[in-house]
Amino acid sequence: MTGPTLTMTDRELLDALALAVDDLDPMPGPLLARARSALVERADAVTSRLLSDSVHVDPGLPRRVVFAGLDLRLDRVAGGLRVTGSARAGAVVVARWPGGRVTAVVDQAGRFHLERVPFGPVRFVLRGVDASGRDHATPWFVA
Amino acid sequence: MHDRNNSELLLRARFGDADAWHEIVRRYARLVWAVPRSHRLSPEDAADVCQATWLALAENLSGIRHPERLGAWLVTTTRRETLTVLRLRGREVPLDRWEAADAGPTPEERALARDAGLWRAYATLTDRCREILRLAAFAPELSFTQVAEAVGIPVNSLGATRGRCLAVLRRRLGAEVPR
Repeated sequence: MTGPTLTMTDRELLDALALAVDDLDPMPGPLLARARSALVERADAVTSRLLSDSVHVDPGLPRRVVFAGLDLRLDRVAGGLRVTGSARAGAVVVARWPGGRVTAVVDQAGRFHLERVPFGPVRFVLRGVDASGRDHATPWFVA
Repeated sequence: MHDRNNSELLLRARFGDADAWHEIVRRYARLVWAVPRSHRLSPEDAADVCQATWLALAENLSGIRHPERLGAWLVTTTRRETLTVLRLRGREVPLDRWEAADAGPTPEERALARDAGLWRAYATLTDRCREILRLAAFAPELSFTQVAEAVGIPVNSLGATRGRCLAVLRRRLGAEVPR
């Protein structure tokens, strides 16, 4: 393998690299299934824009992620995340991950608390935000 | 579905056509996987980042303004989350250095066992070089502008950067010639 690569053109070398990568660092099969099932996770919701993420300022724990109308604090504990936060509006908050969810009521002060949110891709959905009836949802991110 | 273009696939997927969605995944899954892996994220973290990208695309099927540039959109989205997870794991986002990183390459044992000199030489490159070469290897259809935007370097320096990465790769391959 090593000898011929020295005389290859750039394109041939890159094609050989693609083969080597496919052979030695292939995409795991289960990921393909997870990618294919992403379509069923869609939510008909208004997107809550990301405003800030403390990981880009100070990667030290705990992580604070702020979206329009929603502040989150993520604490890593054994077996998952403990999420505390506040919502400017909304009656119920749902933490969603592929294939699962956990729900909490937002109290009168706008605060809520969620336990055992798994590590990995997650999004948060606020229900009962306004009279339109549409949920508000954060983009997906890795927690 | 193989002969459908990205515009048609995105439109069909938006209305729930699973076959169209699966075709999009088939076309770009290797490219998306290349992004976190070229930054040395663990397979588990890389899988989470990739899944977040596919979830984000599913949610934004009507928001892709340039379907012909879907590959670049996927790379940009995946790269953003990759850099976040790198910080989450307490690893600095690497600077653009030309010396080999100290961290060991990941699937090295397998490479050693199979005399994969090209992979071993590639694994000693900087994160930036590995990312640029892996994108060039898997998505030759991405233009210089798209790759430059996706990896965050000026488009007028990408050609030279790619050339330097290939030159370093060739040099390291040369150093690997069997004694």
